Amino acid sequence: MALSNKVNPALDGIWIESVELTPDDAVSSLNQIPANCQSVSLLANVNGVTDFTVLPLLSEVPDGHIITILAGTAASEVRTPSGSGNLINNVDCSDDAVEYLLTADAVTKFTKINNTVGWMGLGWTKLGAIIGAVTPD
Amino acid sequence: MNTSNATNPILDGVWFRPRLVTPNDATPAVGAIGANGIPASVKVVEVGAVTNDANDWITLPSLADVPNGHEITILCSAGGNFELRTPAGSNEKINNQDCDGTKEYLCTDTEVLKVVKINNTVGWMAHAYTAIGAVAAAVIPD
Repeated sequence: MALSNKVNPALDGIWIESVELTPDDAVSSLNQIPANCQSVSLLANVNGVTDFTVLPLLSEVPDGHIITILAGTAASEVRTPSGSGNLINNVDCSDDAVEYLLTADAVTKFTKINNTVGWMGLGWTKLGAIIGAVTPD
Repeated sequence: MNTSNATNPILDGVWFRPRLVTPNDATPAVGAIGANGIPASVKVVEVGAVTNDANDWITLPSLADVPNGHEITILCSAGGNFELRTPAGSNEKINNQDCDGTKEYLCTDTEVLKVVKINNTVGWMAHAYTAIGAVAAAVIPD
């Protein structure tokens, strides 16, 4: 469904369903964030804190697309699709070795800037404190 | 409207009508929202002038009534400070503090407050920005 500008809805509110994913050490439907998903709740890691989830391809979402990830009770990591060259915070996270660290219980928002600059990630603790900028490594 | 992933709408934009909520010192009757309650479906809240003083409060919806990741934007437009609670007797938390009647999150006038539901156990995470875009210090409800 696509609506023109003149008929965009004015809403009192909206609910976005949260997609539950499971960080793992290999890519599968368990840990791949769908392109049309805006809210992700992470379940317990399969293996440990180096398990990861994978953002959608930059080319599959519009500029400005925001994904909110609610981390699980343990830390985990976020990658971009393998071999995509997609960046998070100006670091290529598609080489299967570099990842953005998600702190346990944190709320993290990933905003697509554009296909070249990639994603900007920024998080808050569950206490409402902003988490310092994360350089993926 | 409930659509499957394959049929989610593609929009150029969407507007959320702000809900006017007025801080006061009243606990709504069970099942009622009251003038100081934020309904579960609301995304944007404008805050009216406090009824009594800066100890008046507004109340978040029950955690059970909204999905994980649900975010509410509260425009602190009361003309003075006020407070934010969770429903009375709910044991629900803001920034890891039970805010169902004994503690409150301080809302500073003119700030823009974002409240995100993490889950039913952890509760809400709240953070704010000043009107000129600076990150406000984390608030511990007390």
